[in-house]
Amino acid sequence: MKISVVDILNSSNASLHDDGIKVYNEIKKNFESSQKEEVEVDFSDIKRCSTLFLNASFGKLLADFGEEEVKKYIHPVSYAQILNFMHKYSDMWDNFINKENYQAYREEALA
Amino acid sequence: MNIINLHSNSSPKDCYYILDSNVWLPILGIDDEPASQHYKIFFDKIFKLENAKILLCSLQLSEILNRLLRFNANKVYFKKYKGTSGAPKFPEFYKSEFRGSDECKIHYENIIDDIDGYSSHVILKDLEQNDFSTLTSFDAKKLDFNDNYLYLLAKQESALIITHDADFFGLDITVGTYNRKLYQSYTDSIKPKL
Repeated sequence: MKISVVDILNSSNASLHDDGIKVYNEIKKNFESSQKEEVEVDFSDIKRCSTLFLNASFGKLLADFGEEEVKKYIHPVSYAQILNFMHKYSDMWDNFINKENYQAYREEALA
Repeated sequence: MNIINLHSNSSPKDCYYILDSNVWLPILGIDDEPASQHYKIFFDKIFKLENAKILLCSLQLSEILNRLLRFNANKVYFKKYKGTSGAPKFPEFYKSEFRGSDECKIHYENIIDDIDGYSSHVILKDLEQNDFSTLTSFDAKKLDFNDNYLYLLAKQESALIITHDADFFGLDITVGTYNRKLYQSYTDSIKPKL
């Protein structure tokens, strides 16, 4: 199964929190169906992708369904044109799995 | 002074906004509390309006960049040196290792890319009158230098400050917040004394 981010957003920018929630809702349907299948999240024609978007979409999926499920079923594809996409994606993932370890650093940054 | 309770008045207007750095940071990836969700949604709503703009001054840009880079440096330090003997002190690591690393460069690019992605609604703006006396005349018990700068910018541009902190409480500007305690303090302060 493939879902197109540009079709969901009607925009070439995946920048806002609400954009991420829209993509999250679309992917979530798959987790709620009786027969889960792998989902390719297609970033073709997306020019820009923000940290805010990634946290609201994939970050929320990680929080709701866990690392193993997301790793198994969700795969971003066709993102080579987006600056540092995989670095931002890995950073989002790292922040999630190390949430406790990084808590003191977050508190320091927000103080 | 006026405080807007964003819980009951969550629709932005076509005007200038200044986001406190603690509102910017969750938008840019440092997220620590459920309250920040409200501010992210408010941020989204600003982008739905053509003439609502967010003012960002160079001082605040510097503060945001420094805090985000330091946060990311802490993460790298944790992964590289946690539990190891003979690790450099963090300040030494930050200057000698992290700042010159590819990792720092990529983090910097990502932060700039995120902010640049919002450029349709973000205006870089600084104080027009920035003499020493104006910049430094504030009650140091209530504000720090950067908060005072944002306050002066808000006055200059008739901008609303969006914040979750009490730092801007009691000033002659309009503040919008989802902080119920802050709003309650304000309503208590303007109640007529019987």
